[in-house]
Formats: sequence, structure tokens, C-alpha cells
Amino acid sequence: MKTLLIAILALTSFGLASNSAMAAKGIAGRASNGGYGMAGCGLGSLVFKENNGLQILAATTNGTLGSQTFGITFGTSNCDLSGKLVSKDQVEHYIAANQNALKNDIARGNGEALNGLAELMGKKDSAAFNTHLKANYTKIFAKTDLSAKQITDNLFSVLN
Amino acid sequence: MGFLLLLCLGWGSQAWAAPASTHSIQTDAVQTLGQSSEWKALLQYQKNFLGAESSEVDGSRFFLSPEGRTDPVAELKSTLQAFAAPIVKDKKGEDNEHALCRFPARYALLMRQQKNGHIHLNQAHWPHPRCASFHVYRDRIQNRQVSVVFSSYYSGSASSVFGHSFLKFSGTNDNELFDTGINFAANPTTHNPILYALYGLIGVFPATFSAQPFYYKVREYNDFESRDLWTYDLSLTEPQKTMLIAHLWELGNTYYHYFYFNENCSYQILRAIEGAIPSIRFFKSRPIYLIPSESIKLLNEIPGLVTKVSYRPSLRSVAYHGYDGLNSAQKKELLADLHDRNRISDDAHVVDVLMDAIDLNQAKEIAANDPQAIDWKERVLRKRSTLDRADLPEKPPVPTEEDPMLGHGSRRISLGYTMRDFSGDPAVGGSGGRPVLDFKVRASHHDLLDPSIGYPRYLHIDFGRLGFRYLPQPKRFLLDDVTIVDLTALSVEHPLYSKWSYNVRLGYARKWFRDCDDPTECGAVSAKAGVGKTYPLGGRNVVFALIDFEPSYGSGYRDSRFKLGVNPTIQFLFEWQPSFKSLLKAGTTYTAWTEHAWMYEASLENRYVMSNRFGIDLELSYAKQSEASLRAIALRGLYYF
Repeated sequence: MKTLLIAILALTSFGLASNSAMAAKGIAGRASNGGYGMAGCGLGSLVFKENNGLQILAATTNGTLGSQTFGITFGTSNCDLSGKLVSKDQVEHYIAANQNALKNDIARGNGEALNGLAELMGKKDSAAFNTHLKANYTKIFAKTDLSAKQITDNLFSVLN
Repeated sequence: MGFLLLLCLGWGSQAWAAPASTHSIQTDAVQTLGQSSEWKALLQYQKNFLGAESSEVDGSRFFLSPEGRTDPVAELKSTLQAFAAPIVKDKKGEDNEHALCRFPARYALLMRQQKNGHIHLNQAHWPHPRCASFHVYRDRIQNRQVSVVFSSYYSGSASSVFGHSFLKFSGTNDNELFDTGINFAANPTTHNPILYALYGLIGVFPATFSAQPFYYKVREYNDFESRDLWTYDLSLTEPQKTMLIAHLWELGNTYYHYFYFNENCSYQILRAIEGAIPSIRFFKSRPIYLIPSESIKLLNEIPGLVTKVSYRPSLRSVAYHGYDGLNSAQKKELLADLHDRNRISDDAHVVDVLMDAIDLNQAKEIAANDPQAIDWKERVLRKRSTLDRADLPEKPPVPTEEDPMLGHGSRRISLGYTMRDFSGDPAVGGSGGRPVLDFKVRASHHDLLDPSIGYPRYLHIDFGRLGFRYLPQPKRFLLDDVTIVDLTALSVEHPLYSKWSYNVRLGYARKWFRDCDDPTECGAVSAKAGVGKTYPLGGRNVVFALIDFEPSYGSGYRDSRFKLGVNPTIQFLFEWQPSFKSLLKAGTTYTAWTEHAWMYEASLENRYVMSNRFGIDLELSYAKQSEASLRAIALRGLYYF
């Protein structure tokens, strides 16, 4: 009932009753644009599309509304966010999400995303770490179509 | 003090105290607690505009009593029973399904009530579940600082023009990227734009809370959509923060119906705070609508709640600032590099801005792995990695006056007096002054002449506007303006970035139109859309040219009730001060299927607003259709709230 009431209220208060179809286009914006759409006030977010490499992911829900056991869902699997030394998988996850910013930072030899990587990997001397990665930019990002896993592998081999 | 108990106990591995069924608790104590504002807050009870109270949560599992949505006492009784119920292992053999694991904030409230002597819980027979999932969640969310983050207006998508807000929890890590964002969002079930909008309005989509590392937010909003982020730190005590995290766990376990206008992201974020911390009240009842930027102003209405405001510049702000920092030779080099993709400067300063400019212009292409964009960017990056300089491009200063918390109230009423002088139209009668009184109400949000503080200065967005006019001679009272949406998004041309400006208007309005049964007050329903370009004029002044197409329907139209108008305009927007602006406009309209097809118009409107609240507006206008003309002068008083 609440739903219905609010619905009627929302419609009438904005005079949409007879014009909803036209208004709809305005509000929907780019909603029809496949994986990207619905950014904005709660109307969803960018959805991670692995196949086209869209790195900005915000897909979070597990789609089992009402029956999920684990309560609030996390957009990332088991990342330890406290900055402690974490596993290679977690580094890979971080790289996947921050790829563009990380590339910029490594090319510059400095930056917030790069500092985050150093922290995630427990590198205390981040200046040396940054310089080293900058010098090895072309080894880490050997090609433009690498997966996050390949980049992570290259990163680890450059550091060893 | 009760919260301290909660802190010390933690949840799960501790053995719960002692025994009991609900019989041993005084019934009146349960009645009192069940009706208390603290308990109802935890159940997310809210009054609707008629004053009826019920929970806003729509997932049935949130309630342990079948009447829980409307009967808080029944829900309390059922909660006590569920807390005392034996553990039933879930499929994985864990205890997470037990009510003590699912409702840690309710448990904390009960413990506090007991400690204060308000109820007596006999916990001897309560089980001791191991709440592994909750522990993972709780340990991951660090609670040194709780903030509300506002992601600024994004005119690229109409669903984002009002902005967005979410919660942020930060820990001891200085790198903000590792903070946790807690977001409330709809989970759309359709990509059809019409259904999408309709469903968003009437509450079809389910919506849930979710948590993500803050870096996702930064990548999505700051980088991909180029939106500034404003962060408002809240002064919450340790027990309040702990309670909020526990309550979010309860809410994250269920879902809501999503309503674009009121039960939206910003509303539920604030409601979660209200639920956990009943001493904070943002809403007396459910609002008819809540705009995200307005929700930020609500934070400011609670004295002392916001302790710090910080700003994280969008990619655009960073790139523009980087450009401003270059000398003229460097700027020239940068623009040459942008123009010719085979050319890359040897100057690290230039390349730094070039990288940002490419990201700004090619965000979608790069994200989608477009080969040409990727190739260009990669060559620039490789070049940059060979250039020595490693200091970062300077961050732009905080644009304090853009802080949305400082913005004018987005609702506005106005009262105007207009003197009109028609001449040359035999249908209207002789010339001479004809006064009109008008009254308008705007539900939201901001137009180009409203004070710029706290708003994007080149965005006009009105959602919901209603106006009436009164003509004293002869006496007539008329509906004047019904606007559903009126949007003008100006994108100011910049050497690094160029984009079309556009406008859209949908609604009913009256104007002077000769081929109409009632030519001076000719009403029509219309849908207008236009595109154009906007150029800077120095300072904050801009000039923009738009061409609009406006199909309209008027029951009083002669010849044909449908008309199609084409309306090119040129407009100059002058910002003398953020609260004192002028708009000079000249344009012509060609209307098809009518006798007097050409209309020429010019106007000058000036507005001054005091203390973001009281405005005065003076408008001079002239219009001409064939041999007839209209001169008008209008004076309006405005009030923002």
C-alpha cells in the first residue's frame, strides 16, 4: 500500500500521469546503453564487464534479494583493506579496479594509486618502489591488452 | 554507557549471559521499549505525510514477527523469542542465520536497556552463536571516521543531474582509497529507458545497501564521470559508530523498494544514521522528495555534526588546473600534442596534462579498450615513463564556494508584477499598459540566475514548477506554467575539452501568440529540446547559442492545433557576483503551420539575491510578430527555502 500511495503521489505531484513516457526519456539518460547506465543517485552504477574491459566496477549485489544470508555485500572478494600484506589475488583485484590510474602513476613515478599498491604489497620504501616500477613500465605493461592477472604476474617478476 | 558494554562484548565468540523466555520480562517494560523511539528507529519506522507510521523496509526477513512492519511491540517480542531460540545451522554448518547474528544492533540496544535498568533480560538460555559473517564485515569496516560523501552533479546522465551520496568509513590508513564506501542503490531489472524511469519513479526496483572499497567510487565518479567528490566528516562517538555499523549490517541483510524522488540513495543513507543514532533526526516524516544536495544541507542543520569538509577534485578539475599551470609555450605544445596523436612533448609538465586530457576526453573509449584510444594513451604513458620528473601535478585548490552544503534552498517561490504593452494587434485591442500578477512555485532546483554558491553555475535544472497569473482587467485567474522538467546543461568550451550544450523542457506554458483564440494568454503543452555551444567570455561570463525544436499542442491554436517551432537563440550570462547575475537573450522563433510564422524576441533579466534567500529580479523584454509587438517589464520577488 505504501508503495502504491507513494507511486501515485510521485506521479501526481510532478504531473507525470499523462506524460510519463516523455519524462522517462529525460530521467533515464543513458540507461539503455548496455553495461554502462544508471550511474547516479542510487539508480544503479557501472557494472563490471570483464569482456570489454570496463574496469570501473561497482557490481555488488548477489541478486538473491531477501534470501541472502550474509547481509551487506561487498564489491570485492576478501580484500583486506587495512593495508596489511595481502595475497597476489588481492593485488590483482586492486590492479583490475585501478588499472588506468595505476598506469598513469607508474608512468609518472608517483601518485595515490601507486602509493596504495606499495602499501598493499607491504613496501615500506615507497620511493624506491615507485622509481623501480617507473623504470620497468614497459615490462609491467608489456602490451596493451593484458589482463589484470598478467599485469600482476609481470609486476611480481619485476619486483623479484 | 550501554554502548560500551556492546564494545567490550563484541559479538559472537563471547558467551551470552544468561537464560530466559520472554515471560520473565515485565510485560510493561516490553510495551514501553517496543514503543520507544529508539526501538522504532532501529526498525526503520517512519511517518508518512498522513502521519501513519510503519517500517520503510520492504524485505520480509527484516521482521521476525509477521506484524513487525506495523507493530513494533510484536516485533520486540518476536526478537526476544528469536534471540532465545536454539541455533539452527545453515547449509555451510555455520550459525550466521541466528537472530543474534542477523540483528546485532537490536541486541546492543537491549543490552543497553538492561544496563540502564529499563528491562530485565534473563539470558541464561540464549544460545552463543558464532557470527562469522558479521565478524568479517565488522572487521573490514574501520570506523575511525564516518563521513557522508556527495558526488557532484553529472549532467551527462539525467539520472545523475542531482548528484549522489553515500557513506564512507575510514580507518587508520592515510590512503583514502582503502576506506569503505557504503552505498544504497537500486538494482534495476530493465535496460528499457522508459520502463527504467517509470520503475524508478514508482518503486518497482528493489534496492540494497552494499559496501565497496572507496577506490571504486573514486574511479567511477572522480575519473570516469569526472565528478568532484565532497566529503563531510561526522562527529560521531565510538559507540555511535559501532552502532551504525551494526545497524547497517541489519539493513544490508534486506531490501527496499526504490523511489527516485524520496526513498532514494541520499534518504536511506541518512535514515540508516537515524536508525542507529536516534538522537539525530533529519526527518519528521517521509519527505515527498529529497534531492541529494538537499540531504547534504540537512547534515548542516544538526549543530556540530559536520566537523570537516574535504574535496576530491574530478579528473576535469585536475586537468584544467594542470593546464592553467602551464606557460604559454607549454600550452601551445600541449594543444599540438592533442591535435596530432603522433606528436608527444618532451616536457614532463606537458605530458602530465596531456595524460589527463586524454583520460578526460576518451574515458569511455579507454574503459572499453578501444584500440585507437588505448594505443595513443599507451604511447604517451611510455614516453612519460622515460621523463624524469616525478613530482605530481599540483592539485587544484578547494573551490570552497562550490560546496553543496552552502547552496541556496532548492525550493523557490516567487511573486511578480508585470506591465505589458501590446501594440499593432487588432485582435488585442489598443496599446496601453496591461498589468499581470504572477505566482510561481518551484519544487527544485537551480537556474542560471540563481546564486552560484554550492551549485554548478552553468546548469539549470528545474524539476516541478507551477505558476499562476492574475489579470485585473478584466479579472482572470489562469494557470500559467506547469513544468515537469526544464534542463539546460551548458558545457563551456575549454582548450582541453569540448562538448555540446543541450536543453530540454517539458510542460505547459502561456505566451503571446497571435494565431490563437486567446492571443495574449495562449496556452500550449510542449516538449522542447535543443543543442548548442557555450563559450567563455572571461571571468565567469559565458555566451551560448542554442537551437531548439519545440513541437507543441494548444487547444486555442488556430489553423492547426499542433505546431512545430524552431527557435535559435544567443544568450549572454554575466556573473557580476555569485549572487548577482544578468542574462541577455535574443532569438527568433519560426513556427510551422501558422499565419504569423516569425516571432523575434529579446530580453534582459537581472537578479540579485541576498543571503542566499531573498531575491529580486527585474526583466525587460520585447517581442514582435509581424506588425504587432509586445513590450514588458517585470519585477519579481523570490524566496528560496
